[in-house]
Amino acid sequence: MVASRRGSDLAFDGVILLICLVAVAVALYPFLYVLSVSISDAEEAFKGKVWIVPAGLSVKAYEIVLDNPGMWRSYYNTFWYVVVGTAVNITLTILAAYPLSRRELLGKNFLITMMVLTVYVSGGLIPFYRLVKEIGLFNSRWALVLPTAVSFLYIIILRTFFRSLPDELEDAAIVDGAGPATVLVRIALPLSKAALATLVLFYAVGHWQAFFNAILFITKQDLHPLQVYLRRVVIMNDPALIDSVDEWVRHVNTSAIYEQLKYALIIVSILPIICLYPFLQKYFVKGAMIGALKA
Amino acid sequence: MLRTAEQSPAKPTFAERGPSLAKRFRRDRVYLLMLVPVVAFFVIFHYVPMYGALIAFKEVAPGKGYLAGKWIWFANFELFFRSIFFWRLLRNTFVLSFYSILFGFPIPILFALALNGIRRPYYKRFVQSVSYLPHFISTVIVVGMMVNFLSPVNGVVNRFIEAFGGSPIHFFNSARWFRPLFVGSEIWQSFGWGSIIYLAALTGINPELYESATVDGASRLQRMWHIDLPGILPTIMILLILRMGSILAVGFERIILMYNPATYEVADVIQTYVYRRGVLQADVSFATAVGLFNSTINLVFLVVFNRVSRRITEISLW
Repeated sequence: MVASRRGSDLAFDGVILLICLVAVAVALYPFLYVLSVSISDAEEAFKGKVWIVPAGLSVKAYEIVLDNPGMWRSYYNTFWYVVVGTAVNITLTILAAYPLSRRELLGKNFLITMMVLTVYVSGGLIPFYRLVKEIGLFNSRWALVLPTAVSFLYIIILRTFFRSLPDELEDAAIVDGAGPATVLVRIALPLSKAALATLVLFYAVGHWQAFFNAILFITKQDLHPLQVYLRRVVIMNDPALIDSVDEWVRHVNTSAIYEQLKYALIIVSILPIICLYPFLQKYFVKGAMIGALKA
Repeated sequence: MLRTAEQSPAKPTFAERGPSLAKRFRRDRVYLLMLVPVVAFFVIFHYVPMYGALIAFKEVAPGKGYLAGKWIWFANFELFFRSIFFWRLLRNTFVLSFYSILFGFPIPILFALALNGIRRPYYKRFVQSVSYLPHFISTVIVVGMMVNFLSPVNGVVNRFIEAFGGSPIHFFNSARWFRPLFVGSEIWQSFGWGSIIYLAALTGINPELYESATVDGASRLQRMWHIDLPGILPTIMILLILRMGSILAVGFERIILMYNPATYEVADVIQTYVYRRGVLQADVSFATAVGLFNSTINLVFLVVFNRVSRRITEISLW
């Protein structure tokens, strides 16, 4: 690839390099800054000394954050919502996508129309809110699982995938006397591992990031997911973390350390994502393409 | 043999109609059983609330059943159309959406074109990976970082301003700053992720076009302008039309995290108003009416832009 490099092409490369550098800096700087503040000395951190590099080193903020039972509680809750919610999501998605991928199914058009309609027509927030309250899900963990039990878009994606599986394998199994459920479990699902993994990831990220249904339906702080806890501490300045600031810190400077706690909490709550991200990225990108093509 | 015939079914004539309903039911019973929970989900969480939305046309009768009140028909709608909120909410919804399209839509395109111009694959992959990262950060954290970075007391931005002799700005209490912060944070979260689809479209461009353009002496900029851009233009058009169709669907969850009474004037949109009126103030009937108004306008826009899409690009949602 030795092309003759003209001046305009050099300038072109320069502009592209610049755009990419800016993009990388803009995307990364907030993380680096939060990290630096969180591990700086609390006093130094807010005196205008930390821009990118930490000033002084202290893990005091992390000790306090990791010592906070409320934080762990919300972390556990989020874990529960992600695991149970995603399990329900993927089960229902399979149970809908597989029958609908059959060439012939009694009432198929009716069922699909019924599901498509819900994408365009909605009763709105308030009747939905009332319903969830009325069926007794208020302040129940299931309020964050059942009302979002399945996504129509993902049903369609999985249905398309099931359709692309070779018919011969299934036909052979049916000839051998296997019923639809057996064919689904023994043949269709093992062949769809990659597609299922992508959907699991998308559902899981959805649960991980969700907060609105939790502030709608859950008033008990014990049941709040991490995002709601974060909202309280980091956005609304609720001193939920301050109980655990011990006497030593209180003497030094409560305000500075309290500010710093928020930065440490942010890092603690994005750590799982940052750690898993490099391994999962390719599934996400693949999924995004499929999703975009369908949407 | 039979299979291939079934795959492209001609309209069956009356005489050759398939098995009877009972037979088909027995044939499909396991499949239908699988669908029961999903159908139940859609009925309970989508169709029952549609029925519940009738409360918008009724009076709430405390102590009696949910829909036991008197019919008041469109009284709530009239009340809403006459209130000072109506134009304010409509304006804010459109303005926020308009700005996020105006600034948020072209950036992923430009970014994809730039990425496509990178020659070294590992360098390209690095930039891509980094740019997707903000997409996986929750809105709560994004807003949380903004609130703290922009804090007038300890925020890095205000320290920067002060370092140059300015006085600190109360960003989150300022009506002037709400829109830029809303749109800016949305762009930060989505510019990389949004570029994926354009990159996919760019890889679909015929490489021979580049070769012949190079032979003809086209510069890299010219190749981008005359090959890349036309190559992804259909994708751009489709996405733009789809985006226009959902113009009223602003990211209200982000707004709920960002706004406060000092910024309601520019930040309050229909959905946040419905949330406050219906959930926080329990004004059920009225808030449902406002919500229905919102759903209806959404639907109208979707249908109109879908028509437009079908006419221009021959691609539509239905």
